[in-house]
Amino acid sequence: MSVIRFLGCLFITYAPLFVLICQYVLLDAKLLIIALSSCFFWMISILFTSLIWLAVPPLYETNIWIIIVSFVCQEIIRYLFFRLLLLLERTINYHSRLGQRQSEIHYIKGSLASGLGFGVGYVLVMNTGLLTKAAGPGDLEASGCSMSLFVLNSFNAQIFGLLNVAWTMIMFIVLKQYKYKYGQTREKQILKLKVIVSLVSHFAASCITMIDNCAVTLTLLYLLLICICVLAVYITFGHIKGKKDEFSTIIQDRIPLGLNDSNSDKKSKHENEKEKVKEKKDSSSSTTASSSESN
Amino acid sequence: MSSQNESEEKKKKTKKRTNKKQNHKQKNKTKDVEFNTRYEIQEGKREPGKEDLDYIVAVYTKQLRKVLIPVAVTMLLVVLVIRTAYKDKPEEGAFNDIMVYNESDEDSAGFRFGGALLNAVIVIAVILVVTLIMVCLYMKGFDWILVGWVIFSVFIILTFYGLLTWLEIFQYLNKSLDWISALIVILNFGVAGTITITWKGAKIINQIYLIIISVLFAAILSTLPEYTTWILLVLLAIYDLVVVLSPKGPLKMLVETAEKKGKPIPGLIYSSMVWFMSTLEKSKAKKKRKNKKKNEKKKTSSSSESNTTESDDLLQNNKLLNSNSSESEENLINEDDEIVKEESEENEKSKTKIKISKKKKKTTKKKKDDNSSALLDHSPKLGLGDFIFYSLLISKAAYQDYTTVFTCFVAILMGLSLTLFFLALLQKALPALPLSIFFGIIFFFITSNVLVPMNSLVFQDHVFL
Repeated sequence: MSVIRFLGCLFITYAPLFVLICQYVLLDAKLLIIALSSCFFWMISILFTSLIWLAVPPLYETNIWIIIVSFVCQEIIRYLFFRLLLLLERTINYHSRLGQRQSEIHYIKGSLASGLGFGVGYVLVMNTGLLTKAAGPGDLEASGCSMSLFVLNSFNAQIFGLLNVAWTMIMFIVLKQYKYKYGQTREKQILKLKVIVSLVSHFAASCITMIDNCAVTLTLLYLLLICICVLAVYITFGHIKGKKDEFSTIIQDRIPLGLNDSNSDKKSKHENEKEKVKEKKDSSSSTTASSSESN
Repeated sequence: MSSQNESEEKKKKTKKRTNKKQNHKQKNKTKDVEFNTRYEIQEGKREPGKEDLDYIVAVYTKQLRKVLIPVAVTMLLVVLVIRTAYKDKPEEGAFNDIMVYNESDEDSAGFRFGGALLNAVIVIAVILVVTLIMVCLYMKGFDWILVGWVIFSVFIILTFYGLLTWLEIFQYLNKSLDWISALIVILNFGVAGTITITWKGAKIINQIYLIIISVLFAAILSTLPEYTTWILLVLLAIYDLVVVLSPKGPLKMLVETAEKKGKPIPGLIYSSMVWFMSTLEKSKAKKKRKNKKKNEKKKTSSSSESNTTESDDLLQNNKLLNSNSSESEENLINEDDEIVKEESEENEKSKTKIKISKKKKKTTKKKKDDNSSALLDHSPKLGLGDFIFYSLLISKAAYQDYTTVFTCFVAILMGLSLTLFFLALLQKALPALPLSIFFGIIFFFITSNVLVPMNSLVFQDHVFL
């Protein structure tokens, strides 16, 4: 009985993330590294919150203060990881050759991998404590609810894992677009709004879990999940009401996101230099070969 | 097209050999590490012969997964063994006869700390002495002692410690076992392990046995008293750093002696080296046909599937793997020394392990220098010592909570990937222990003491942060 409950909780929490991981992260090694490092960064954020909790205990009689502090730390770490990913992507993609596309980072896949890292880290820290207890005897009841605490916790963890993925994707893609809109304030406002929506949804999601009635929490969280996922999908693909052209112009940049392959024909200055160097090499090698033969 | 590629390859190889010899000498003298910085590339100052960042990234990413998976598997196995069999055992003080200071709860914290420090310092001193002895033996040509040591120690570990853990697990599962079947099974297990590790064997089985050895070793080491383990880990990380990065260490002496002897295999009588040679010859022949997988008889190396494009590009990146060999040697030396006390069996076992790794690495290094083009030794080498100390750290976490286990797991893997990244960037021998142990210790203490209580408070109200 307890083993069944344990397996049920395990699969509820990890199934969606596992599917995404199997589709993207395990097939490409770069994404694995990005996911691992994002997991590491998320754990740094949660350890930071715990240290603050240790330092200032009297504030935390209610849960709201811990939520605020953790929210702030997590979003700061997410922004820092965004900067890191941007730096990585630029260094690697700028210096990639035509024949070496395997070493490039596809920005959207990279943001998805980082989101998965955050999600998996979140779920590992938040859920394993109760998951291991679910395999043992006995049952804990959630307050104000007939569901067992283990099952409720696993449902919440599933939702939050997917939400983390969505939040990271929204933030990373929007903030990348943000830079290339110089004079267009209205569009900048719209982009800012999207990021603010994701932040507010994070805070709202963690506040919703404070509600005692688990039916209300779960319904609200699932609605939130659907809305945020729709937003994330809209932002990545942009196939809604003529916004496609705008989005495609943003993407087609010196550092392509990879949705359109029109940039593959262009050659950067660096590649031209490399070709010249190769030609020189061949000419020099031919001269050396001729000189050796003559000797 | 293929002929043109071959001609280009030959030209590149000839240039590479000359460049490598010159660069090798210069590097030994000046210690200048040149690598392509972002700014050099942008300004066009990058020289044509040097490796590009994208090559480094492509090779690094392919290698990383092959290293991470064995480490992850060992750590998870250790967690499994400890959570089932070792966790509820009373602390019997297995090392009390050996340690100078026996920890007990009656003493004050400062006294315990001092005693633990003394224990750890003695262990590391013994490690140093043993490494010097081994270096002297190797330099004077007494390889056969080391070979016999390896065989003996591997056999003893697999049979003795394997039997102990097996009995512990069966005690946990409440099953019975008769001495006849146990004897038969464990003898076969041990003999097969020694044969695969020290002689021929399938690559996967070799890796499995090495993982099993590290799991057994770490499970036994986890019974060390608490303060000694933490101080020992810290001191080992520092020792590893010092020995690998110092200009005059036993590592360099070993490498120099290996090069002085001038043989393609540095004077080793191990039959394992013969096997290695034969596989390499086969691989050379196969390369000409541009077809195959190259099997390496290394602890963490896995077969590198050679596609035509990959082989052309990755031939030029043998430097990445040269540097790793020394790193693993040093780690094995440390691991060797860790348990070494004067007359305990453990010492012998560890030494043999180190020797295995060292000699394997030397062969690969030599071969790279001679026939850099023929070898596709792309996987980085990681010593058994690294495995054992990472899993020791995880075992200490396993005694506490699963959350600490996962945080330390992530920290260790992150440290390992960072060290490999620096290795790919700097192309120099680097120690693998310090970064991951640094991260692991920090994460362990913060999670076990701070995060778990916070989580337990928060979960009572089913609140998610």
